[in-house]
Amino acid sequence: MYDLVIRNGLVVDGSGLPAYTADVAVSGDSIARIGKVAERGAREIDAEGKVVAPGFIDPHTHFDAQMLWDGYAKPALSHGVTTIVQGNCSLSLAPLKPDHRMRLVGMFNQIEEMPLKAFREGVVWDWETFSEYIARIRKGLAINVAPLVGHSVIRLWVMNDAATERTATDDEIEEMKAVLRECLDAGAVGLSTSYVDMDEKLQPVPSRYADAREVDALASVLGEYGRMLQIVPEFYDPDLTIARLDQLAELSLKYGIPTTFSPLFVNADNIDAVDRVMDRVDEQFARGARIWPQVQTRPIDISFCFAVPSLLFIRLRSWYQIMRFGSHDEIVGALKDKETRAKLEAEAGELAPLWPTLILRQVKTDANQKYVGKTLGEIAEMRGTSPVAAMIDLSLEEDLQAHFLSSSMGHDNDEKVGGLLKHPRVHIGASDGGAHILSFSTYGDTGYLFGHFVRDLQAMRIEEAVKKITSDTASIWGIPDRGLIQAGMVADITVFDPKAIDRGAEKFVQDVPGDGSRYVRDSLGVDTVIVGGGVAWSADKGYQDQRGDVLPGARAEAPELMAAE
Amino acid sequence: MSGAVIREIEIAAAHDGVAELIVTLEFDNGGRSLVTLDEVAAGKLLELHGTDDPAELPGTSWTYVRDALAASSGRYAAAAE
Repeated sequence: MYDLVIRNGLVVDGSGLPAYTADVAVSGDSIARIGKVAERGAREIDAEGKVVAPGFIDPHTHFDAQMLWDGYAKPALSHGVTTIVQGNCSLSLAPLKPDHRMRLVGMFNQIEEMPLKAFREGVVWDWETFSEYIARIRKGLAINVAPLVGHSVIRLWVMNDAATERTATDDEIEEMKAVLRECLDAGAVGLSTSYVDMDEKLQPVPSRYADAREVDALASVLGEYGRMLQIVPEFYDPDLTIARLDQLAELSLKYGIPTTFSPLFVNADNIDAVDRVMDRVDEQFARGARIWPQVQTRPIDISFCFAVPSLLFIRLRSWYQIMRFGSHDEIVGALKDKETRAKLEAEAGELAPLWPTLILRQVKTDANQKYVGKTLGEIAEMRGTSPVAAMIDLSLEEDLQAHFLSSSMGHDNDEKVGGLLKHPRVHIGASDGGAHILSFSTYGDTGYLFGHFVRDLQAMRIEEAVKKITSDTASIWGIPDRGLIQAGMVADITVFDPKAIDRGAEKFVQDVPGDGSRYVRDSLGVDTVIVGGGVAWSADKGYQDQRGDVLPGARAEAPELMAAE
Repeated sequence: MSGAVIREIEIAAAHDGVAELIVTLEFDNGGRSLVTLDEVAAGKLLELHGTDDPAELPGTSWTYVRDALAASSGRYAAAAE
C-alpha cells in the first residue's frame, strides 16, 4: 500500500511537455509511481478535473522573521508554494550577534515593514550563527526553505559599527569569506546583496558600503560551492541596472556562479528600457553568464490615505496643496468646509473615471468595516452619494485613516509583462512574500499567473507556466530532487483546479505577533498542497503536516549551467 | 546638458505601492532621459519652480530637477546625523 495516491489528475509534470492523465503514488517522502496505480493508498485524493503539478517555488521572499513563529509561511503555502527562498536583498536574520539584534530589527522594520512589536513578542532570540538559526526554524517547518545569507548581516558580524562607515580591510574581507563559508556549509543557498536599500535611519544598509573587491571576494566563495548571488540593482534607472548586470555577468563567468537580480518590472517610465535590459541579459547569456532577471506576475497598485500626501493627486492642484502642506487639522478643516469641499469635488471631475474604481482597503471604525473591499462606486450607491463624496466622507469618519487603493497602476501592460514572463531567460519571482506587510499583499502571484496570463489571456500554456515556477526555478537555484513530477523525486505536489485557480481579494488581518496586522490574499482553486509526501494544506482541512526541509540540503550539487528552454 | 528642459511629467506606480513622478528631460540634441522623483522630491520641484501646478513644469530647466533631487536626498543626510 502506498502512503498517498492522487487519482485521475491531469499531470503537468514541470518539464514543459504536454499534460497527461495519470495517478501519482507517493511512498514516504518520494513519488513512487506515475501511471495507472492499482494499489490503494493510506490516503487518497480524487484529482479528477484538476491539475497535479510540482509544488511551486518562490525565489524571492522575506519570510525570515515569520518562519520563527509560523513554519507554514501562511498563506503562501495555501497558494501552492512548497519552497520559498528567503534572505533576499542583503537581509537575513543570521549570523547575528546579540548587540546587533535591534539594528537588524530596524532594517527589517524599515525595508520589510515587519513591526517592532512582532520581534519583541514573537521572537525568542536563541541563535547567533547561521546553523543555529537553521536549527531554530526546522522546528515545526511545514514549507521548504532555501535560505540566502545577507551580505549586510555578514558585514555587520565582522565589522560591527564600521559596517556602515567604510570599506573593509583585507583582513575583514578574509573574515567575511570565512563567515560566508560557514553559512554555506550550514545550508545557505547563496548570498544576497543590495545596492539600493536604506536602514531605519535612512542610511544605506551595510552591503552598500562594500567596494568591488569585497563583492568579488565573496563571489569567489560562492564559486567554491556553485551557489547563487542575488542582488537588488538600482532598478529605477535602466542604465545603472545594465551596468550592474554587466558586473554580475563578470562574476558569473569568473567564478562559474548563477546570479539573479530583482526586481525588473514594466512601468510607464521604462517600457522601452525593459527591452534594453533584456537585450543585455541575452547578450550576457550568449557569453555564458547566468544573470537571471526576476519578474513578478502581479500588477502594482497605488495606495493612499489623506493623512499622507500622494502624488496620485498632483494634477489636482487644490487637493495636492491641501494634502502636501496641510496639517492634520487643516486637512480635516478643509474637507469639512462647504466651500472648499465644493471646490475639491468640482476639481475631482478632471479624473472622473478614476474615483468609482478606487477600492476601500482599510478603516478603523466598526461602522465602516462593511465597506472594506468595495469600490467607491459601490459604496456611493449604498450611501446614495457620489464616489468622490464617499471618499471624503469616509476619510472624515476615519480621522483621515481611510485607506484607498487604485489597482493596476504599474506593471500592468499585459502584452509586455506576458512576453517577459514567457521569456526563456526570465525568472518568474519577486513576490516579496512576507514583506511590505502593511502596504499590500505579497501572496497569490502564482494564482494570478494561472488565472490571468494562462486562463484569461491565454498568453502562456499551462505547461509553460508550471515549468517556469517549478523545474526552471529548481534548476536555476540548484535545488535537487524537486520541481518535477517524476518517480524518485521528492513529493512536493500542488493539486489545483485550472478553471478556478486565482488569488483572492486582498484583506487586512490581525495575525502578526504583538497584535500586528498585515495584508493577505486567500488562495482560490487550490485543492491540496503536499510537502515531502505529507499533506501540508488542503482546502477542506486547512494547514496540516509539517514535513518541510531546509534546501538545497545534503544531496545538492552545484547548480546546472542553465534551465532548459 | 546646459539646455536640457523638462518635456513631460507622468505619474507612475513605485515598487512599494506609492505614486511617484516621472520627469522626461529633453537634451539639446533631442535625446530624452527619464528621472524618477518621490513625493518629497516632486514637492520640492514645484516649490523651487514657485508653482503648485505641475502643468507649468514642461519647458523649464533641468536644474530644478537637479536641485529638487539634491534637496530630497539631503533629508537622508539630516536623518543620519
